[in-house]
Amino acid sequence: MWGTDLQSVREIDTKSDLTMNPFAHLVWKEYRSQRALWMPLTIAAVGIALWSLRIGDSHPNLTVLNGMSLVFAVAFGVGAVTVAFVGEEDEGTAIWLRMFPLTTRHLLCGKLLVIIAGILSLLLLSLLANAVLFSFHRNGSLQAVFQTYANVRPKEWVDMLIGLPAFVLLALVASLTGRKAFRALGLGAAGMVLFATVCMNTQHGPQSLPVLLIQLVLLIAVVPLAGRWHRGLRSGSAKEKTGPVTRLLSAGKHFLQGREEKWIRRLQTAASRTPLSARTFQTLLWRELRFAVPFYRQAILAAVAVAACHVLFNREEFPWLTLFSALFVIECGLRTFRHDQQQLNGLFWSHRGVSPGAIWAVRMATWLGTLVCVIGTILLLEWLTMQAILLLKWLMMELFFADATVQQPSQFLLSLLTSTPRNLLDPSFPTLLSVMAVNGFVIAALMSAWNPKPLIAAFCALVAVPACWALTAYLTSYNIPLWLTIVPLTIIWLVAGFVTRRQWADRRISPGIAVQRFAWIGVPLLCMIPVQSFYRAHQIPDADQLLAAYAPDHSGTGSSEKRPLPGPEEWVALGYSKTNTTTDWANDWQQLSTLASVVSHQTSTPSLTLAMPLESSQSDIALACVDRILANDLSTHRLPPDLRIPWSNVRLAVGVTNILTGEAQRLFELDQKPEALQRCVQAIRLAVFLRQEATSWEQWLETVTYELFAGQVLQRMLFETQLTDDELQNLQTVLSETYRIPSSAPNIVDNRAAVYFQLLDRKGYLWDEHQRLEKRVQAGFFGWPLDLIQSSASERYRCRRLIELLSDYRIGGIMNPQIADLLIAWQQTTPGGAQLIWHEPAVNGGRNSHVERLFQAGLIQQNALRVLIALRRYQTLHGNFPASLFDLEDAGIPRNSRWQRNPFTESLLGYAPSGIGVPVPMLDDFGKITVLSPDQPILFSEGRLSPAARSYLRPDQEEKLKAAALPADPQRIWFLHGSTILGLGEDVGFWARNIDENMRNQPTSHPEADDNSDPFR
Amino acid sequence: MKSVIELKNTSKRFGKVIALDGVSFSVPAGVVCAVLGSNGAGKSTAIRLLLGLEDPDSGSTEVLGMNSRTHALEIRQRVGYVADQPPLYDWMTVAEIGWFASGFYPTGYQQEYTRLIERFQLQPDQKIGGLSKGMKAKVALSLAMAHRPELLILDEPTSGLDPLVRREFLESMIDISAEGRTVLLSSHQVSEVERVADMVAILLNGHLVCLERLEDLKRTTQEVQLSLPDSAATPPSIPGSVLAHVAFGHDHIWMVRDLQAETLLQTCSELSLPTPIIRKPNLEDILLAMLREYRKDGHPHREQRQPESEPV
Repeated sequence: MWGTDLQSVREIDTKSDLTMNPFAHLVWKEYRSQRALWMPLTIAAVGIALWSLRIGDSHPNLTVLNGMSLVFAVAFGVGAVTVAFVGEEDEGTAIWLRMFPLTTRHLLCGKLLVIIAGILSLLLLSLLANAVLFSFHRNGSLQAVFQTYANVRPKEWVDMLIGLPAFVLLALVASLTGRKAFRALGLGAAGMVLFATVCMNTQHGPQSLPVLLIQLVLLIAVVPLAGRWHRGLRSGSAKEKTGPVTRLLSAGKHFLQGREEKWIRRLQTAASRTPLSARTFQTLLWRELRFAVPFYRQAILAAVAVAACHVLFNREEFPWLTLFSALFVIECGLRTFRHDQQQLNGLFWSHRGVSPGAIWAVRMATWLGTLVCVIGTILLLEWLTMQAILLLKWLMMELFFADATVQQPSQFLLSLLTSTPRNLLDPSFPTLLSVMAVNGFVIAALMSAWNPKPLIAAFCALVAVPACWALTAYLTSYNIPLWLTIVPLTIIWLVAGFVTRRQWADRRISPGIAVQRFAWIGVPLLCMIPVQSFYRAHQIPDADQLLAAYAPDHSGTGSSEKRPLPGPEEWVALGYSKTNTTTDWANDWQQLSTLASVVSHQTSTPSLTLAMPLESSQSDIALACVDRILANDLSTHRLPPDLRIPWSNVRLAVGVTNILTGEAQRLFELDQKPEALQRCVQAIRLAVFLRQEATSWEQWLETVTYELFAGQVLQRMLFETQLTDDELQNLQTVLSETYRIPSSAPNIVDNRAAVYFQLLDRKGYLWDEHQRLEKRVQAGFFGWPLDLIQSSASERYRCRRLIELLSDYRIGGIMNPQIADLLIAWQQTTPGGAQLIWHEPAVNGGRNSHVERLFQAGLIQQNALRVLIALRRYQTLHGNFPASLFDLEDAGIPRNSRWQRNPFTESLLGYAPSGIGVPVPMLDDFGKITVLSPDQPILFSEGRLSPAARSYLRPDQEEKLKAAALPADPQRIWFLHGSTILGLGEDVGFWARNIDENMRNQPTSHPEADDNSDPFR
Repeated sequence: MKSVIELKNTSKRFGKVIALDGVSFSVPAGVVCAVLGSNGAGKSTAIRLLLGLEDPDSGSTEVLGMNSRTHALEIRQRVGYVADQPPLYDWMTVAEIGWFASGFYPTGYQQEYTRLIERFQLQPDQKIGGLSKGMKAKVALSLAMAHRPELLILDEPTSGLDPLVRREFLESMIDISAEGRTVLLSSHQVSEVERVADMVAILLNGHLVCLERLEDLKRTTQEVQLSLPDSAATPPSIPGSVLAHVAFGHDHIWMVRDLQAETLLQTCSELSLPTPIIRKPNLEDILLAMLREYRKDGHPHREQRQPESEPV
């Protein structure tokens, strides 16, 4: 029947032309092969761009997005090349393909055309998507799409054009020479790591000569390799070992093989002498070692090549080798069960009565051991290479720069040998490395056991392992320890491998098995979410726990100040009520705030030379508001809630102080000097009130800074105004009343807690205000901590714990660097943490913090201003300054008063009516240096930065300081609070340098002639 | 008559393994030549060398008068090849794979392929990955025969086929050879090959131990069975070329070529031995005897004969 049928068909003319274009058929076939890879990668590249737009309200980083697009394009290129060449080899379809009457040129061109088209289309689509999304996100329109890439420098385009094909070429060469997909991928990846290393260590990167040469060599190698691939030539043929290099390699291989056989024979002999169970175990072990030993050899050879880069580029720190070991981790895991996928060895062993558990245990043990050996050897190799480089450098110095020798040879060699491996300097690194290595191994082994196709197993492992590591890195950056992330996952997946140990032999897949596998992977990941949320919520301890753990002198109780933070019932008392927004008091504040915002924009620093007073009409309105506000009892009134929000009221103190000091200056110039002084006192009074109402350290600092500034203005006017004794006495009284507002404690802790708790608890005035704004604005509103407001319940609880800890943790108390580091680490991953910890004394130096120093300066100035007024009264009464501060009784300060004392040290304020005999450099809080004459009368606070430390000044600076000093004014007293005087410890060098520069810039000008040298003159 | 296939002192080795060791033979046109041998004997290597998929380490191979190394492309255009467990693209359908292959062959391929898959009762829209092993073999056969090759090389073509199709397929080889085309067939189904083969080449561990017309081989080979009185008795010398000798206690079996039966009978009579049983063996018996002998000696008997006459 068959023969008849065949004979009935007309003869085919074999000499005729082809009916179809073979190239078109090849392209179609390649397109269909690559489509499954191209589609998900393109979707992922565009999806990531979309996802990045969703994160937060900040603009996406276009450079990062483009980098991701490039990575996806390279990934497709490498994957496509692998599928097209070594993938066909691995699957066996290459044999059938080779049977076609097809030239190598057609075959290579057809495959490469599809691959290149795929890479370019993926890249272009992804870049276009990035540009469109970026432009749309930024401008709300697509107008700027084609201008988005205009700013990319030409060099970057060239780097990309060179780098991208290089990676694909490397993968192509590896794919054409390899017989197994994953081995080719590994070789390609190793080549890529080396190539990237060369690029990063050459001057012009991808455009440097070595890099271009590498690419040229690769390009030239492609055509002959493609010819060999097409013909299916195998390595190992006797004829192919005739070259000198091959012979050399062959000799080496034979040497090793001989050793291996001897070693195997011994193992077999040992196995034959033991009982059956042990023999089975040893046979299994022997079999695995047969595979492991060559792998170990390959790994070390590859590592040697990378280590050579250390020497080649003469660098000790070189992280590539460590990264490189990641490939060995995955390969080790994949090899655990790969033999079974190809040779049905699982069935072989199971038919011989060997339990899958025993095989699983032996394989895992063998390959895990191999992995440990490989990683250990790589690290050792890296360390040795580093030492060799150091030795080389030292020898070079010895030979060519004999004078530069700083160590004896024996000492140097000893230090080399005993030094800690540089790649293990960080103690957490070995732990992290080992945990991640085991995790990668377990995942790869699982993928290998579960996937009957080696290529799919390799692909799954290559995706899953980096994904797990990235997840771990992400969670670690959120303070979640390894034992809650990668460690339990690794253990669970190890157990999964054991429980499903029969599946690798069965090589079957069913819906039940698929569900089981998804459960093994997905359920632990899902379970991690609540566990990690719980951990994060309770990670932050209370203050006592923290101190007990870290402060050696802490007894466990009492070192922290437990303070009950305000609850909802106290929020109203703190001013958060709807009624507080509608009163005259509130209206005045709103009006003043609006006008203050105008001034504050004009004067960002407290400098009178920059002050831009309001227009007269606006100024009158503002001053009227101030008068009405100050007519109220400030001890019972609270700032309206809208102005208490920390993110909307940062510069209120700046504006208010500038309005009043500007008005004072205007009145002073109009010779209405008592009124001018009155405005200065008002400025101080409002600054003190605002300090009490501050809800963030940023606000608080501004209030103190501008209180100090207003005090300095008052001080200047005091000594340049002829006031009667009654007027001075009246000023003394007003100032005393001003300082009577309770302000000795920073109430910011309570205020801050009240603000945040309303948002964290989602109730109260601020929460209602947020809801109202959200409905009105919809697209969001400036300044509110949306990350905090929109965070989950656990994250909000975490934020609350952090606030409680910061409130309880004694400000300026025990300052432990470890605690500070911990607090910083916690705040970095807590929503709203950045605002919480801004200027926080608990993490910014305790007693040395900016907050603490300014707080002390403010309180000292309160006393000093009273003393200065008394001194002025004494001068008015007696015509000169008293010899001692105890002589101010008739000027309003009794001998036993606290006012002439430093409230922190209880020591007397320093007083020198004839100067201290040396020039005094003075740096105010705004960075301006003024040098006072040695004969200038001064009042100063005895602080840690007091003039008593003047001996620390360099002697050679004295003449320069004298030359730069202001001329002495015996009718005036300067007040210097401790933190403004130079002269102590580590500050000396810094300030001295500033003085140097200051003098170098103005070598000839006299301070008197320079308006900027003294703002008050 | 010019040979379609010719191997001249061809050797090939893979590492330490010698796949072919100085093999020489030629196959004339219009015959069905069966290549037989044990696993690893070198059958598939010889086929790969003929198709230019491998280069010989020494010697040369020619197909249709062209050197396999230099004219691989032309050879593949005029040769059909079916591998054992043909590795086809799983994701293609039966129709798609035919369309894909038609691009590389002259006019008429597609129509012939369509006709063949209809004959094999294959669904055109069925994925290759979803086909059984036998159906895949049918697709591979269709692909190999659709361009009417001058030489059809079949490496284990019938494995996986059901008996009826296998029988029909093998018998169709006779028709193909009748058209003047040549079939090189490698198979372990010796009894079925015997029905269609004109020539037999037997390879044992890289050595060609027999190349002969099947008819001649069977005609000149005889099996001699002799039961000696006791196991200690010395067996008589067999007049002829002994291919194999197997002893089971006092029972002896010889596979002998060009046996002089009268001389043997006379010798047995003189030695007072029982009369030996002489019979005509089938091809499988001959092959098995050769294999056993090879395993016993460790090297094959080089009993190579050229065909005495041209094939029909």
